[in-house]
Parts: sequence; structure tokens; C-alpha cells
Amino acid sequence: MHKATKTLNIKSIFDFIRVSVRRLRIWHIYVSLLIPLLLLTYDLLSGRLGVDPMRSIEKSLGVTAIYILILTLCITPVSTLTGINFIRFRRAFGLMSFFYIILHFSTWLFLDMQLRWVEIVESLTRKPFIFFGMIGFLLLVPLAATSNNYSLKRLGKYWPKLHKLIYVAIILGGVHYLMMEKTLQSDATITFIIIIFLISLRFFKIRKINWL
Amino acid sequence: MKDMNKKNQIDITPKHLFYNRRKVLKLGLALTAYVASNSITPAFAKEIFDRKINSLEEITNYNNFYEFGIDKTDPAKHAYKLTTSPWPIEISGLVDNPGVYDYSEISREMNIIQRTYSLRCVEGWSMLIPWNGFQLSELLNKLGVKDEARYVSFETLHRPQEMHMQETNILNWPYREGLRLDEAMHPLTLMATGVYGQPLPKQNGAPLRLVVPWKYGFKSIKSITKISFQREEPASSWNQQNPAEYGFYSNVNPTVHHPRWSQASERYIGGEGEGYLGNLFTKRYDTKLFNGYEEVAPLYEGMDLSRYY
Repeated sequence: MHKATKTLNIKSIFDFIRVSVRRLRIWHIYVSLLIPLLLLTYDLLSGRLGVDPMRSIEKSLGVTAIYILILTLCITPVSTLTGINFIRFRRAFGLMSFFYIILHFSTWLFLDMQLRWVEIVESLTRKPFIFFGMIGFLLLVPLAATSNNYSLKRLGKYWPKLHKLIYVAIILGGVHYLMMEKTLQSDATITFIIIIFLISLRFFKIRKINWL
Repeated sequence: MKDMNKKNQIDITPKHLFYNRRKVLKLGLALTAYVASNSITPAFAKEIFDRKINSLEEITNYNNFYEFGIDKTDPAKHAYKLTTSPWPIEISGLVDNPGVYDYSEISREMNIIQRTYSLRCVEGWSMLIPWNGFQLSELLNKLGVKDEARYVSFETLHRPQEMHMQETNILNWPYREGLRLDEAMHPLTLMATGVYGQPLPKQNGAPLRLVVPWKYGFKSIKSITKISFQREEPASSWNQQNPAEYGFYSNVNPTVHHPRWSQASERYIGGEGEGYLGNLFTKRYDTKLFNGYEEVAPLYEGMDLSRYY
């Protein structure tokens, strides 16, 4: 009796989530994913970014991008496990991640490197961590460009194949984060482990959890 | 002890400082008096002085002091835990007067001078910092370094109860650094005991730290408790951690490539505008050999600086 009630509770919670998700519109995702940017702006204007705001902004944008990309990778396994369909939100996550990467890259190009081209070329060719970040970014360009219904139809069976590049891109992003500082940082290490875990999930057949 | 003001009267204030008075005045009258009496060495490039001297707030809230955390804001949050009094300093090795001296004993004996130096971090940023302290050479002369000694090594305090990162193994603790004896004896080499005429804040390496302005910042070891004189090149922490990236010399050199950061230029922390928002737009300056302190060049005559980086 006791056990049955408990199961019923979890089931009802998930039913509630299922209904809520069904009500969710895609633009809700786009707007929610702007919250990190608003918080960052607030931090900047209120002096919370410290003595070197540029570096804080640059890092924060990069970290936000990688975490939204991680959420993008979560969509499929979470949908399978729970039986709740999140797939229709995946594009919003992917594109918003790309949006943050563009902001991150622009901060680096304009505010950090200040368009000093000789050093930019040197950084891209001779600094491994910048090289990896850049390649990751470039790999995402065709993905962002084909994240629309027209391309989806046009590319047909090639679309999923092309979009597998996200795995390579996110690993490069993780390595970029990992190599950024003088010593191994715990947050970058944890991020990298999450990435590897999510990618390794693709090698297992995931089923819906029965009691949901 | 010599009177500090008397000492300052003989110091030269470069002409351009008078021209830059307007900027300096913003910082307040006391500071103006301080800057005017500041001793600046002749080779100090004019370009360096086109920048503002960093504010105490900037200097104390942007620190690499890994004993207190990796983020540049961590030292300001955690360094209060450090007990700096008493502060025994162990002097050992090839020296006439070895022993353990308290910091207060040493600083009392020294001529406190004021020097505004550019601090160039290997990470590609720089600040302009008004130190006070004494020339390391003065201390070495008092200690009587033996002729056989060729190097001096330094160690930071090792006290994990107060420096929590020493519980981790991100670096081989305690932090170690070293100089060749002629580098240590160079008049530019400073043992800083303060900034802006005040005692050194804990996050900046209280009570006593090294400042070697022509080398990357990590050579300027903080919170020193051991000084030893020896024949062999001493170990240095970053060199042990990653010898391909950090050499023993670590002279500022825009032509020596670093796998992580461009050394061709540096971002001067502290923007043109006021406050934090003003700091958003930092300016890049070309990095100069020896951080612009050309007078140290004879120390390295005949040395291949790309090999002895």
C-alpha cells in the first residue's frame, strides 16, 4: 500500500511535468536562455565583475556556451529516459549556445586581442588552447547554419550525419576550457567529465524507465 | 633609522610626471605628494608612464597568490587568515650571518625607498604598482654573502591551516623561487614591504615579498620565510610544475614564445575610464624586452635568451 502511494506520487509529478512541457513554447526557451546574459550585464553594471571585467565576461560567456551545449546533448537521453518529448526544444538550445559562442569570440577578438592581427594569427596557430576553441567554433558554424526547417528537409538523411559534428565540437570546447589556465581547474575538469559521460551515453541503448 | 622624507628628497621625479599631475591629482593630495616623491629609475620608459598608476583597490583585488585560491579575487577573500606577526625569516647557506631573524628586525635596519614598477604577468597583463621596500642588495650586503655563493633561493611560508590551497597538489608547496646572485644584487631588485606607503596587504604577499620588475610576475615570490645562498641553480615552483612553459630566468621577452599567452603585448589592467565599468576597455601595449628595464641587459650578455628563458 505504502509503496503504491509512493509510485503514484512520482508518476503524478511526471504527469505534471509532461503537461507543463507540452504547454511550453519554443520562444520560452530562447528567452530563458537570455537570462545568463542579463545576469552578466547586471553584474557588470553593479561592479561585481571586479578589477578586470573583460576577462570575467569572456570566461562567463564561454562557460555559458559550453553549458548550454551540454544541455543540448542532454535532450535526447532525457527524452528517452522520461518519455517526455524535449526534442522540439533542441534547436533553441543549440542556437543559443552558438549565440553565446559568438559573443565569447567577439569579446576575445575586440576587447581582449583588440584586433591585433599578428597576435591573433599567432594565437590561432601556436596556442593549442585557442586553436582547439577556434576549430570547435568553426565546426559549429555549419550546424547553426542548417538549424532550420528548410535545411532539415533539403539535407534529408545527411542532416543527422552532419549534426554529429556537435560531439567533436563539444569535446574541443571542453579541451579549450581545460587548457585555459596554468593549472588544472576543478570546474573545467568536472565539465569535461560531464561531456565525456554524455557522449559515451550514445554507445548504450537507453530505454524509457518503466515506472514513469 | 633614516628619515623617510629625507631619503625621498634626493630621488628624481621625471619631467613627464609633472605633466601628468592632472591625472594624479584625481587620486587625492596625499597621493600626489607620494607620487612626486616617488623614485623612478632612469630607464623607466615614458610609454609605461603614460598609464595610470593602479589604484590600491585594483592592486589588492587582482592577485595571483595560489596559496589562497586560483581565481584572482580569491586572495582578497582568504588572505586575512594569514598571521604575519611574528614572522621569522630563516637565512641559511653560504652566508656570514646565518640565522633566524624576525621581519620586524630586518625591516627596521633597512632604508625604505619607494619605487613604481610595471608588473608584467606571464598571463599577458600588467599593472603599475607603487611599492615601498628596500633594495635586496642592501640586505645581502648586511648578511655578508660568501664568495662561493652564486644563487639565492626563496621560500614562501608553508602553513596549510592558513593557506588552504597548500592542502592540494596544484603546485609543489612551498612556493619556491630563485635568482642568480648578480640579479639579486641589481639595484632594481626590490624587497617590497608595502604599497602606497602602507604595509603590504596580505593578498600582495605580506609582510615581505620580492619584486623583480624585468621578470614575469611569478618570479616575485610572496610572503618569504626562507632565504638561502647556494652554489647551484635553485628550484622554482612553476619551473617544476611545467618546465616547458616556465624557465628559471623568466625574463620578460616578447620574442620568447609561450604556448598559452601571447607575450608580444600586454593588457594593462585599469582602463581609461573611472571605476569598474571604465576598466572594461583595457588597452594593449607592446611588451618590451626586460619589461622596458634595459639596464639589466648586461646581466645576460652572451646568453641565448630563447634557450635560457
